[in-house]
Amino acid sequence: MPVWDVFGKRTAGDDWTLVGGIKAPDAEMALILARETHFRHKEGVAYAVRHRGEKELHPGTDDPELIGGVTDRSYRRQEAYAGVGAKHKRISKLMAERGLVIDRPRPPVGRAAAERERKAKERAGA
Amino acid sequence: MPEEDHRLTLLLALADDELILGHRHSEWTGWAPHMEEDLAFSSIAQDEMAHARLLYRLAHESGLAERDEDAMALGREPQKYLNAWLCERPNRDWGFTLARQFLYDTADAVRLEALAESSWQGLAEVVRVMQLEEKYHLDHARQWFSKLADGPAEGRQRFSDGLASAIGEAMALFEPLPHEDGLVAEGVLPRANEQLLAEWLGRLGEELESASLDFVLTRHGATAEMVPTSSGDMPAPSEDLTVPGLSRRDDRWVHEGGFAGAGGRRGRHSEDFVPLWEEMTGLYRAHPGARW
Amino acid sequence: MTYEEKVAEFKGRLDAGEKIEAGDWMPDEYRLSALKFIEMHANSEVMGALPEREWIPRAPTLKRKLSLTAKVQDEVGHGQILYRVAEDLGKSREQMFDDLVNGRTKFHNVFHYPTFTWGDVAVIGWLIDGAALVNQKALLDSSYLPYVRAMRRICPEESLHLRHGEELVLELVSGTDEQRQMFQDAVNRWWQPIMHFFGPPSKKKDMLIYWGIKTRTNESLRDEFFTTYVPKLWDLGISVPDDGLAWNEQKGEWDWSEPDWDEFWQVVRGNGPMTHVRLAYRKAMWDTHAWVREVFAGVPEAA
Repeated sequence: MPVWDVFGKRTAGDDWTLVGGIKAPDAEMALILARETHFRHKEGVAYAVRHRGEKELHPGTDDPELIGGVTDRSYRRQEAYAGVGAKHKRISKLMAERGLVIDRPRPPVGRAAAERERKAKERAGA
Repeated sequence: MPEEDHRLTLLLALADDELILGHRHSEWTGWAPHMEEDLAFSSIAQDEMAHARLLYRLAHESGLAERDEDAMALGREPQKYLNAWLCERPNRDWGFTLARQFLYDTADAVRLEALAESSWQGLAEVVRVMQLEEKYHLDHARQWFSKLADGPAEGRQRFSDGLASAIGEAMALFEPLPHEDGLVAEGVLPRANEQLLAEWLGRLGEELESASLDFVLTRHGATAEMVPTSSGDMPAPSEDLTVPGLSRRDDRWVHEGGFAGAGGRRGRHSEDFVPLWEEMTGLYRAHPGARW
Repeated sequence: MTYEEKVAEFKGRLDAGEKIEAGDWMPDEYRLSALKFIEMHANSEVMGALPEREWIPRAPTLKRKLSLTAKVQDEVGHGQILYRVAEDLGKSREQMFDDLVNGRTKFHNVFHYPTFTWGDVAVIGWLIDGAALVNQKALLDSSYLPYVRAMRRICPEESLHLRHGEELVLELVSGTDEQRQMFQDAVNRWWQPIMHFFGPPSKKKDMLIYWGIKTRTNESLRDEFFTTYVPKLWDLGISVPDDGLAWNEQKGEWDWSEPDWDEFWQVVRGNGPMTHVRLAYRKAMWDTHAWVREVFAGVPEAA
């Protein structure tokens, strides 16, 4: 089954960027499948497919606003879960008030964040 | 009877169709026959369930229903769901699933075209949003239709079997609603279901004929035994078991008489509904008032 | 240059921090190592979809029904991305799938276990996704660039799943007594598989680390998991079934009880509680849909 390279544009003025590949029998099916494989989270305003080994680019014809859906997609977007950290703190406070927090030896506060920072520095310096 | 009740009937018929079919479609997520298609079909499933949610919210916000979207989707007794039988049938195999998606989304397109002009502004607005997403469903259905109709024998057979199995109950998507006349008179439902059905059958007949698949309109239910031919196995010629309610008049397909799978719009369902309902609503009903 | 010289030069470049692209020359050992690792990762995404998809039909609210469908969809998407990377290393997706459903290749231990309640959905969504994310972030430093690019795409989606999972957990622990207990029970049942997930004690020479495909040891990844998640669990009043688990300030790492590694080996070799059932489902789906592959390929599939 042929492999199709999939290209996208994040904004209208961009050049086509390779975002991945899909397997499909022909260009029309490739466009149907590429849309939900690589753009369902609104990763672009336009997309196109090209059969590996060939030159012709086949662009999709969707209205940019329709790519990634129109109705409420908050259930699968980062912003909708932005309050989770604060919620955790609030509920932990509640548990503390009820005397339910488990008191066993744990790393000093900020340890997890410090580790993440240290690793990020390692990665940057590498 | 106050007209409000009848608008609720229309909303529930639409919303329940979308919820129950979306539920069935979502059962393919994670194991559909081709990975990229799994992703595409899952988006279609999510769209249908999201549309149901919009419609339940409209019912609640217009004061037609006191309960919230979850109570409506998951908290009613089986006889209160007004979806068509087509939607509650199990997925069986991919051929049936695609045939059902094609029939449902082409029928839904006719229905939504009419409702986009509803005198009830709130509904017309929701419908126009739904139509934007339904376009992809139709593109998807038509791509598969052409791949299967023009492809290898087995794929064409499975698709046509699916169409033959589903067409009877698909027509009941247009079973007249209780008290529909009032809704039509007020323009809430711009055209009666019988008229919408006629529109759909006209388009469907043409589309099937162009792919030489119109024979599915002449044979109802399961296929006969298979016999080998040089182009692949084909069903043996069987007696003509016509699709209930479907006739050929003046070179056109028309609806006359009853429907296979009638009763959905009155809350009467097939043997497949209660098992679906138990699975779908069990956890919600086991913990009344709980947050999740 | 002889083959051995080319390999030595390749290794030298890796040690200097250079990365490898899809079309670059690579030793057979590197290619096969990377392929096997990425194939198993892809297999795991695809098998991980199975326990979770069982709850889509049963989700207790519309919002969760949608979010769980989207999450499983993303897992299939991750499998798709990873199989694509693996295909370019020389094995077809059809062959990889065939090997998986016929029990010839492996997938992560955690996906061999059953689910019983919504508490399991929450544990999978928070703790198991959390464990996976610890591993996946480490893979951002892998020597094989196509794999790194796949991780750059996968990690943000996984982070979203993680926050979603945490939200499920928070609703349960702050809910009814039944809901709290549901979550605690699930933690108790899943803890050992999660400990196993990071892998057995590291070997002295780990070829994946040698080639830079993996960059951190199993122990260090598990330790990071403890630091990130155990205090949060304790803050919610949720215990873990390991009396030996505690931060050791002197050593600067966690003390914990080694699990039964025999169970781990049994499971990954194909004898987990749900291995046969799940592979049988996948195999049935694979076999009965050969006709779909035929439609897509345009040619009959070889028997």
